[in-house]
Amino acid sequence: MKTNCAVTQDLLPLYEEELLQPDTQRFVEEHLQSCQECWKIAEQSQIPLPSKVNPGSSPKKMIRKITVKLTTIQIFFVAIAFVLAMSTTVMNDNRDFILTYTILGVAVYLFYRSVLVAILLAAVPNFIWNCLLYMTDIFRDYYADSFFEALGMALINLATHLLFTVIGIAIGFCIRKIMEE
Amino acid sequence: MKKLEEEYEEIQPKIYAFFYAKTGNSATAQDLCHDTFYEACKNIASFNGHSTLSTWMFSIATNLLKKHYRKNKYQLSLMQKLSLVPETEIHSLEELAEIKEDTRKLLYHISKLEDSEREIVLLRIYGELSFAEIGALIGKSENYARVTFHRLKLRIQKTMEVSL
Ligand SMILES: [Zn+2]
Repeated sequence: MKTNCAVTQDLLPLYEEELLQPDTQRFVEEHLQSCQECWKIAEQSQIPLPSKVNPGSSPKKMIRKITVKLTTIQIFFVAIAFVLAMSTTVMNDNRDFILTYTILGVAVYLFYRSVLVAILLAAVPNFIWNCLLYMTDIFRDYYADSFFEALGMALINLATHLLFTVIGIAIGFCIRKIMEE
Repeated sequence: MKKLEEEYEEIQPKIYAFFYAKTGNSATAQDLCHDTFYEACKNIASFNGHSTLSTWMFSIATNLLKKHYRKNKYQLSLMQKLSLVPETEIHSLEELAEIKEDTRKLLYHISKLEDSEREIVLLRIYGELSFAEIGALIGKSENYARVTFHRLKLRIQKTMEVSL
């Protein structure tokens, strides 16, 4: 009978969570009926440990506060990205974007730890701005003749800027790995 | 986004209880809890769904706790303190002032476990994680977590009864 005791006790964790096959479950139940010692252990393990902890402050309030803070930071990032997009166009031979978009990539990636978010934050304002620039006649100097020419220019512009954002993300990734060491 | 907030609200008391059991200080637990949710909200885009949201949040929580103790080197964790004093003196620990008697005893016995065992017990009873989630967090199988917890629980109950 001793082997049955050891087997039953080993099976108890699975028995309590009803994870046993029907046959095995029957075996355990039959043994528990006939063995006082194992019955006691099974009963004992039903009793939860006293683990109550006073609840902390309301989670709703805390999460709301964090959301507000993060939304503010996000708006700030988007604003910066728009300013960068407006101040750099390849057309007027401005090379500052090499530095600014790399930094943007590093900063946004390190903050959100997401490649997608970093790329979107750099790309969307840049693309919107370039479309305004080449497709509308608000800024007459750059107005392109056809839609496809405009789209082409906007995309080329986007690609060059994104290249440096991606380099920034790569740098950010390395920084993160080094910091985690 | 709404769904995520609901899940956060559900996990929050568990994260808080886990930090509380680890630090024995409600203000510290509160702060660490806040930091965990801040990190989680900020980096949610990097949550890849390979694990459950709880597992992911608890791995953030564990990392923040490690950082917290690294920053405050002089500060012993509650578990370290508990493991140093005899049971009769656990009342004198200021960290335990607001904790109920039976929970105090339980924490004392948990502090006597080995590091890896202790983690399983704390994650289960305070973090209320499933065995699969605990397994994923400690890098072991679900069944390892289940069986180990079961044994430790019986052992703790036995010693607690003896010491009553
Ligand atoms: Zn038996």
